[in-house]
Amino acid sequence: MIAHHLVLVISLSCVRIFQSTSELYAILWQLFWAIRPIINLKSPVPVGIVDYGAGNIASLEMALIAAGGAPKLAREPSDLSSLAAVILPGVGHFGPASAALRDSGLAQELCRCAIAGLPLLGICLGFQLLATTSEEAPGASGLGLLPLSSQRLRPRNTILHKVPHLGWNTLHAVNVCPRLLHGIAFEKRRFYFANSYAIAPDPQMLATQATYCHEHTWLALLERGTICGVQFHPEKSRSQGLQLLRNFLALALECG
Amino acid sequence: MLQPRLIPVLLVDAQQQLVKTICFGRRQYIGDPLNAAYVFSGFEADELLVLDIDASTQGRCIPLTFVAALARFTHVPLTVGGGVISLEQIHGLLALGVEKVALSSVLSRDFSFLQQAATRFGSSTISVILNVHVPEKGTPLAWCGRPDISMLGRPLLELALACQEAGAGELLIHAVDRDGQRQGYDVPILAELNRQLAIPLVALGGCGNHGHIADLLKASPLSGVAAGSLFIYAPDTQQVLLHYPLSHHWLQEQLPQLQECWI
Repeated sequence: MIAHHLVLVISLSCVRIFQSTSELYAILWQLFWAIRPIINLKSPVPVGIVDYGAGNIASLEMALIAAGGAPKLAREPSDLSSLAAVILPGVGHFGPASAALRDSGLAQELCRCAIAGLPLLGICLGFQLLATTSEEAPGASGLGLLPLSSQRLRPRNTILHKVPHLGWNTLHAVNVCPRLLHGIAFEKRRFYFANSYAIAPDPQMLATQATYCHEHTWLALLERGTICGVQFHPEKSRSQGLQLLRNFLALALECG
Repeated sequence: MLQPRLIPVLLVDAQQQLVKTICFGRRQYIGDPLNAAYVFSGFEADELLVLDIDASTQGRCIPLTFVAALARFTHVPLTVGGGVISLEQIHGLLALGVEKVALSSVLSRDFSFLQQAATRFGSSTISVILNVHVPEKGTPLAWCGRPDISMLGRPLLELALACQEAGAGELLIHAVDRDGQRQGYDVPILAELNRQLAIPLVALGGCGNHGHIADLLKASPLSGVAAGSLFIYAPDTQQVLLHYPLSHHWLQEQLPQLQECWI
């Protein structure tokens, strides 16, 4: 009699658990469908990496795959079609890089795509190439997508401030929090820099900006519409760098 | 605010084993370098320095297959070195996802190679390792590559300024006599060098505990502090225990105090 009672109680409680878990599953399923278009779990985002012979792309490729992207190298203008976003990386010298972009026809096609609304992210030298000119190569011109120019870092206190600016520096958002920094905790907003040239922030410019300090204040991150640039290396900046790339891919999906 | 980097150093021998040396001589086997690199990457180290210490004596470059695996296992900035003698080798290493290539013994034969490398790949990708020996009297002497009695070293400051002039993006000052001793950095020499140079400086050799790092950084805001023993052994023992986060947190706590010293 007692055993019978016990079985009844257990089966009843099982039904209750089953009911509540099935409800939970239903809620989770609905949630999954609700956020699916935002995070796009299934298909990796096709993102182009402009390859103009300026060195280490491997780490960017690996980071993008980890962030949910499907990187494709773009060496010719035709490679820029059917992409959700494009990244202009860069290590090296402004002059040869700018010449290589123009000679391959990539510069013109990049400008056309960026103006048409294809999300574009410039990294380090790639960021400086989005601007108009650089002190590094006075005769050469950048893509001109941002009315800015880069200049040599010339700190007065050379004991404290070294050139190249090498290592982990903290970011300060100028006005609103940039979309690229979403989900990155305040104390995690430190990124890996390696640069001798930098762009001064422009308070008049209608753009979301974040800065870093190297004796003076310099531009670390800029977002103007779908054109973004970062002076640091997100692909080398551990988990916060991956989150930044994820945010960029999310921006690409929103636009697409 | 730019913070000094804490850099674990991994020394790899000809058998691709992770080892630790004492005064460039006796070696202790530690374990698998890829595994160690993976652990330090998991700890989110500021940067990793991996050197093949048998490469230049055997007349070869650090193996590309090894570096490729290293780059795949890590998500932190990586500096590698060992027997690099040509621009093609640097290009190959950078293409694998390495952040910086460290040059050393090649510069004792052909110093102009430094300028070629810095011009082609940019200063921020080229580090130079200077091995320093401090005689009991007189100025500290430096060598590119293994210190050799047959080759006279140059005064450290003179060689360091020459490297800066040629376009080196960073100097690693390796104190030969202090390697593996865990007795502390050579603070006066490093502080003076940092005062004279405009490029980033990284100290290596002699670090045994956090106090040694504090002594150095109080004297001068070096760009980086590299250590082998500190991150590889359990404190005050010869027992292998890879660790990093405690040191990182410790430095974060010290920073406000250190910044007051630097102003």
